[in-house]
Amino acid sequence: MTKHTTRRKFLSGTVAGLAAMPILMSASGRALAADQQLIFWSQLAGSKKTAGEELEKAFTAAHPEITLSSSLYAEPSQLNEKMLTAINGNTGPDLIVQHWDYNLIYASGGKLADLGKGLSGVDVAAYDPSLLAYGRQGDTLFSMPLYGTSRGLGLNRKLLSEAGLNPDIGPKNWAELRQWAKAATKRNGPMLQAAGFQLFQNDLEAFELFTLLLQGAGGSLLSADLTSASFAGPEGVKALTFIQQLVYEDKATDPGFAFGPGGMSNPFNQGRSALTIAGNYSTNNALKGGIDFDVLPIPKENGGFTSLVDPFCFGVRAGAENEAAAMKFIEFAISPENQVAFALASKNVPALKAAQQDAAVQADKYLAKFVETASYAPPTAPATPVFSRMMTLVARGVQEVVYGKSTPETALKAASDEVASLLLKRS
Amino acid sequence: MAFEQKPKEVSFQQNWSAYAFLAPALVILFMSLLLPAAATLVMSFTDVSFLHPTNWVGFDNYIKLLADEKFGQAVANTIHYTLGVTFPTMALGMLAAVALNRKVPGRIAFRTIFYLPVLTSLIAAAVVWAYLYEPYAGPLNNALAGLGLTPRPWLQDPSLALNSLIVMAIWRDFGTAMIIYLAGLQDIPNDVYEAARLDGAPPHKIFFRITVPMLSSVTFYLLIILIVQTFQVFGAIYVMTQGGPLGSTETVVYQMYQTAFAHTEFGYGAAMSTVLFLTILAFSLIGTRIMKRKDG
Repeated sequence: MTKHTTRRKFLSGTVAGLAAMPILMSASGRALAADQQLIFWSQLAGSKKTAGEELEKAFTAAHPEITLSSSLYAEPSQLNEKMLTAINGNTGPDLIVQHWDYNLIYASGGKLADLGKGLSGVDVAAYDPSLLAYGRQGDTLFSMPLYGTSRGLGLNRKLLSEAGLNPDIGPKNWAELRQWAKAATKRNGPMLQAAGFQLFQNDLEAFELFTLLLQGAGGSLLSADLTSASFAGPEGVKALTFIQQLVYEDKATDPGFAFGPGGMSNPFNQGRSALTIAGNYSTNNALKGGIDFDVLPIPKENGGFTSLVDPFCFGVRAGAENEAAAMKFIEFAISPENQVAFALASKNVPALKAAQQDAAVQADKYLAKFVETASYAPPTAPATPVFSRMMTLVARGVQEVVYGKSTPETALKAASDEVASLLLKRS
Repeated sequence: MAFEQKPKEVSFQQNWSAYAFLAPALVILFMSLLLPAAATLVMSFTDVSFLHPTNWVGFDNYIKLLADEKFGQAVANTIHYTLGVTFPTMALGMLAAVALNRKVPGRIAFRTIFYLPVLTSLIAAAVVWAYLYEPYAGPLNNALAGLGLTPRPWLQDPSLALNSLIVMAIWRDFGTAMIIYLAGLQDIPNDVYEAARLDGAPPHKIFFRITVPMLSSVTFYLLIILIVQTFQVFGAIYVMTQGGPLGSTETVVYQMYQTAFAHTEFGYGAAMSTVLFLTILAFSLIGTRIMKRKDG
């Protein structure tokens, strides 16, 4: 007997299928929850991709009892979007590695576990205090650095030599830095052929340039207890005035020079800047661009050096199903041998102090230089949940001065007032 | 006497299969469009961040928007961008359509070439235009220098950056306008043109007295879709300028994205989104009403 599918049968089947969907979804959800796999959302992309893959491979080999399920995100902002929507859905990974300021935001809402308890077997004092400072909120360690980048003075040795400067001995104070920038600038009529000093290409770089100069003048962004803005004082004005002088008195660059996308379109990587603020990430593109690249420490106003570090940190989601496995992964990644291996593969500064001084790390020309510049970073960090807002506001103030729309005093006062109100609201 | 048949009333029960077939699509529509829109409206009255406990803040977000200078700048930038893109795109689209509506050699090739930018990936186009605008090695400034003119920092100067993005948007969008106008031109009867020519009307009068008025429905339609589209500009800004320099290319949608995801102020971002939605809705309603009145 042939069976005919009538419309009624078809519709009944469809309705029954739709009705069964929630039951099936619920069952599959339970099945996923029951699987003891470590869900890891990683931002180890780009130049860190190989290092990240090797780390995961080594962990899987060392811990066959843990099933690692890793997802890679190209940019910190992409991982952040995914994290926020996951938090909203009360789901998410067991473990993340993310730029420190995002972890800080998650932690401020109680969404990250206290690592001090989970990593009780780890000697935290063995890790770089400058990097660790970005992972603490009060006394609680919620975010453990895997590595950091540090900032140094990036040099185009060829352009500096052509200007009669010795790139082996960098400028020792701000006065010398200005002389160097001025001497290395090349102009052809109104066209800036090569900037003596490339200031910034985006908001974050504008903020970092100002922060470095602020530190160089003896100031800091926030008070020691992180409750008030302190960047608009005399040190901040000195820092911003220095930037203004580079543009308008020394004409070492033009307003907006280098503003735009980075990578190979960055003028420094095209041989059109003698000096810039460089990080570990700068090395590959500069070398790819054929630049005779070098790194020296950034001078302070009256001698001595300064820097800042920018860590990528592990975080464990509060309430993660596999918290124990996540802690095991962190312990594995911050162990001496894996810190050295990751640093060598990614060219970033390891968080473990012993790994920074490892012979293999010190033998790597550029990595050793960035390890050295990291040592000039202060052991404190602007680790406040309003960091991203503060960064935007300070960067705006810096740009207003660079574009001649404001004075250093006015621009900093305006930014400081807004940051103060954000900090007050947060407190 | 003709017998007027009364339409047969069909009961819900008789039509249940039609509703059953429509139901999945309606459920998807509700879940993907109406529910998020309603959720956004509700969120705009809260301080939701997904990280901290959410509080009902009433109209606080809207009051804050009124005093927010940066939002004001974003609104001004959005209006500047919308006007800057919409009208030149329509004018160029109409001129191209009129030119290519004639039987000229290579018209198919030109239509294809003019429409190609529409088919190009926005990100790829933005990367290419960023290279064209490159101040020191870019082809545009090289051409200017070759002509003895001063090169300009197209995307680096706050007074030029938004206009540079507008030029790119016109390049990308005018192909759409051209295609829509071409379709409109096909509907204008040839007799009208022939009569005008017999009466001795010069070409420019034919264009302004016949072509332009007879394309008015198409023009209104284009006006609305271009306004709605340009109000929501995001991709090119995200790739080329990230809202800079000095916020000169920061539009409402870009600021909304930054507010929600970079600063985790979803409630405030939702208020921006609601204001944008109401603005676009107002334009759409006005446009629809005008078109209806014209058709009437």
